[in-house]
Amino acid sequence: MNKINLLIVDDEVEFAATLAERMELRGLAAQIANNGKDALEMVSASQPDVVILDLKMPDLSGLEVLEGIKAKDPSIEVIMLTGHGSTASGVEGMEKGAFDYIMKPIELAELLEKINLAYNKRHGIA
Amino acid sequence: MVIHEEDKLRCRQLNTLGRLMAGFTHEQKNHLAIINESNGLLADLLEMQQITDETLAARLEKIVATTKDRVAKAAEMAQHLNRFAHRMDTPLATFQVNELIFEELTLLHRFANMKQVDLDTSFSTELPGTYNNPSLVQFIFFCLFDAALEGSSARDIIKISTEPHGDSSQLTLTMTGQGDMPFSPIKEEILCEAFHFAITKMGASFIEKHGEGRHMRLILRIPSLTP
Repeated sequence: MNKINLLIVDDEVEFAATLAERMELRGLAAQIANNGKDALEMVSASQPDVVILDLKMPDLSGLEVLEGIKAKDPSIEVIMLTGHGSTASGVEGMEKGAFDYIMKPIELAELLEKINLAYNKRHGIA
Repeated sequence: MVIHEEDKLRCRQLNTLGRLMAGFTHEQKNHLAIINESNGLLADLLEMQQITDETLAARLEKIVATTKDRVAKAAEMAQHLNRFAHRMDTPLATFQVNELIFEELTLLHRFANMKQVDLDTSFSTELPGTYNNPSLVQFIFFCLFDAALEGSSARDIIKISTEPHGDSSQLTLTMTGQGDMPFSPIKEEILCEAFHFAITKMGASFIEKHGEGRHMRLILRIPSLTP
């Protein structure tokens, strides 16, 4: 199996960096973007398999970035991160094409499972 | 119920408080997420034996476990508080009474602990879905809980239970304690005018029942309104 290429998009710099380090310790390749504009540029440049995308960011919202990613390449799978008490925002993301969502603080095992499923979907692996 | 300018001002203040609370809990979850990931990274390093001093590693493992446990508890409370803050967003909605009570009870445990009153719960899984005002249910439950706690002493028990009652959901606070000293009737100032107004607005009913000895029940029946 090829190395999974991840893009982690979160304006919380420390969160994104620590999560990326944990992913790399598990053999995934993780890049970071700390705003929506950078995220869209990195999607064009590096074609990640899966994007972990925070819903609430100060410049472009997570939903706007999601739309941008899907417009560039609909096969890139996106997992939304939400700090909201309600699941409504995560569900809204899925309605706009996100693969799944996960609540903060995250359970790493759950996130890894979702990443694997998203990767398999992108590459047509049953 | 006559609405005065003073009441309108208080409504605005309450709205402000709700919005601040929702924003605060969102931020709180972001901070907890960072603590959680930093703690997780430390756990990863320990697991991959990158910390070779065994005594230090054992100590760090305990710290990692405690931090993980406390982050999970704090995140759960933040989530309940966030949902609680958003309950007033929709005046009428379909909900499960159990969910609203459980959510609020998480935030009320401390008050019972401070008074050394034990809490017990028994939530029926047979409750029908309820279409009514969720924030009023939580307001009334707070009033009842406050009244029950006010009348209780250390080592008394308040049991919060739910069960179906026809098409309604019934919520009961049963207060029990040692000895024969009966519970005093609930003071009128605790179950205030706003409490009774809320009961009427919800189409609900409230009964206060005194049993023999130290035993009392506060019973609330919440109907499902027609959409």
